[in-house]
Amino acid sequence: MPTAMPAPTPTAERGDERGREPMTVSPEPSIRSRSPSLPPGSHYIGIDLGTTLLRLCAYHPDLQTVRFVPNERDKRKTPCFVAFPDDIELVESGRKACDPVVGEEAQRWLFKYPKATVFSWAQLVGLKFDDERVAFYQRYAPYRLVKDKYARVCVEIEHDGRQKHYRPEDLTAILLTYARQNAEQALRHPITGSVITVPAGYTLLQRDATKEAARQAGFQHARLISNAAAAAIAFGFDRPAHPTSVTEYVLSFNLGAAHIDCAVVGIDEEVFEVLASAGDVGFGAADVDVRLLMHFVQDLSKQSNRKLTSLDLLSLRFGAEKIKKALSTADSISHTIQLSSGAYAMTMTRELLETLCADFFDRCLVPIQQVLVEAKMDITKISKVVLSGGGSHFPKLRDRISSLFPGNHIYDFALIDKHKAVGYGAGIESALLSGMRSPNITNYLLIDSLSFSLGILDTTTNTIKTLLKRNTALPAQTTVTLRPIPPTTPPTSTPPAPIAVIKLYEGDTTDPKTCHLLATLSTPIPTQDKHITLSIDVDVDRTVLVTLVSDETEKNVRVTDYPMPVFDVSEDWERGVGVTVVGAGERKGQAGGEVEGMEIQD
Amino acid sequence: MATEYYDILGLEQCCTAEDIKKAYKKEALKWHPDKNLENAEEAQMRFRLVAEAYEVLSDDQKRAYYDRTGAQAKDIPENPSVPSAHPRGHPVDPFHVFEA
Repeated sequence: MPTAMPAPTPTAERGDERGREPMTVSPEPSIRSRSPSLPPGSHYIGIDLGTTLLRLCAYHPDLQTVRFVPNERDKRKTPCFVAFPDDIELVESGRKACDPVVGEEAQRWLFKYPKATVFSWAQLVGLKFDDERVAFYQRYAPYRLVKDKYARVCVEIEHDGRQKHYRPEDLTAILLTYARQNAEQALRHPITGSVITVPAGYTLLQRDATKEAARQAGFQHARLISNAAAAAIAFGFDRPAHPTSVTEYVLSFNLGAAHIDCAVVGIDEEVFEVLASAGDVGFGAADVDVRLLMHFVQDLSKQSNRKLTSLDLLSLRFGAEKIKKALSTADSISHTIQLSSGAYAMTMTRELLETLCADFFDRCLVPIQQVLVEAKMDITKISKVVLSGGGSHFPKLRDRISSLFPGNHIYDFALIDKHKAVGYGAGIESALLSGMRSPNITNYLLIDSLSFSLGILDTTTNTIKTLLKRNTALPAQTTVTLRPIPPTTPPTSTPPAPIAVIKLYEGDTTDPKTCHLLATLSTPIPTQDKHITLSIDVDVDRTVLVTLVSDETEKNVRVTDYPMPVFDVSEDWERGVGVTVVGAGERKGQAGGEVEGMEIQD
Repeated sequence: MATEYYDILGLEQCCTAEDIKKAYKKEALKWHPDKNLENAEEAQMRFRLVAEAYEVLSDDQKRAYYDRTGAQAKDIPENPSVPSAHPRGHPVDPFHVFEA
């Protein structure tokens, strides 16, 4: 019998309650003393949250190892499928019409209810509807993607003749609820914390959307670590005995269905430090499926009387996935896919697949080069290359990566199943946060780092001044002094008290157009010659706290409150005006208490 | 003579790069907030100091700059062009292998 779960509230209703301007949250005294982690003894679980599969792992202190937790079907992996079938069979079993079904149970409905069965939504997390990738995904997805009032992408599901919109994170929340319930049933205790693996290239916004999903799913705390970091942890626990005084540097490469993750990790006994990480989000092994699918469509177009329906495209897509997997080990495969116009039989060779995907492999290598440069790491210092994720097993990719490193550096897991490396790492981290004291994790620690630089817009040059560099170890903090620049022409009347408007960006360039606007902050300045002090705090959970101090006033603003205003299509969004000082009660650009801008004092 | 960053890591100024790495690991294990679930706020403050000290002292050029000027981490340029007091080799271009 399928597990029935209450459906989360659809987006539209929730949108109104959540303020449009979370940035103007009034300073709470408790904001600074907020402890991100749960009290010791709370139970955490590790979740390998992939685009196509989810694995759950818990640390067993007596066995001193990670155990993978079975789902209700006694399987150690759950396909990331959520379906909302309006089916009589389910209604008869006592399920409410709008209750979602999850995992294999949901996969079962794919061909009967293609418009109500959602998969591969992870790549949509944090995207605006107008993003060009959305149109690309829509071409190959049977469900409908729509735009909500914040211009975000949503999945439209029809229940009972009514349309409901789900944000990608709402679907993740349904999946995580299922995961938590399964784990609680298997482990027989409540679980309040989670360690969830995400792509290294996730922005703060995408991370917050994932944390929001975890919150909706009943986890009071969610620690997000990258897939690459998690696999490096698994390596550290799998590697043969290592001289304790020597730091080992590994390059961890994870190729998922819709992301590439790469990190240089320094391992000193059980201390893991992410020295640099980079990734490509929205590009991964599923792109190989799309190449194959396009090849099939082209091939079929040569045959007369072949008309492809949307269900045929779905069959071809899943057929392509099977063929891709088979060609990781076989040189050639003959496969038949059932289409509405009859069976389509084809033979595919690995050679042809590699030809179709030549540029794919090139793109996979880009983040590897990036992290080596950023970690200032001489390639000969890298002792091992750790490959993880389904896509990393392509022989061609292995060859290409191994040719970059002198000697044979690709690590083959000895004790841990290579497919489970990411889950294993998440499980170890979950043991740490649970406060478990087991001999082999006493000295375990993951020191993670910032994925993108944080900076503010300097209006004198219209460029972003970086305040915290990417790859800075977390928690981190920095302080900068800002000085208002007086107007060149004196105001005609007595100016009102000016307000400093500061724009905080996340990104790695100095051009505000290519960075993400995180928040617009403002604070009054008593007099124009007063300085203001801005400090940015990023804690281990990447919650960004900005403190503005001008004279006696102190204002704390927690930036990564969900939802962040990046999707807010207010007039300021594209203009990117930043650190300017404007008169109180006046609009920007008008005369009065306006000053020319703010100068950052070095 | 600036010694604050050395003090944070419990080191003398004449210490080796290896000493710095060891001291950082020891202090990080002691003060990382994940290792101090009941005392996360103080730990966070202490850890940031440890990480800042390590960021400067673990980089030969930044360390030399700090030794001479006593500048704080954020005031030290990315590649300070100060004659290194600790000549321990030059950074290697990781691409030399790619180009080979």
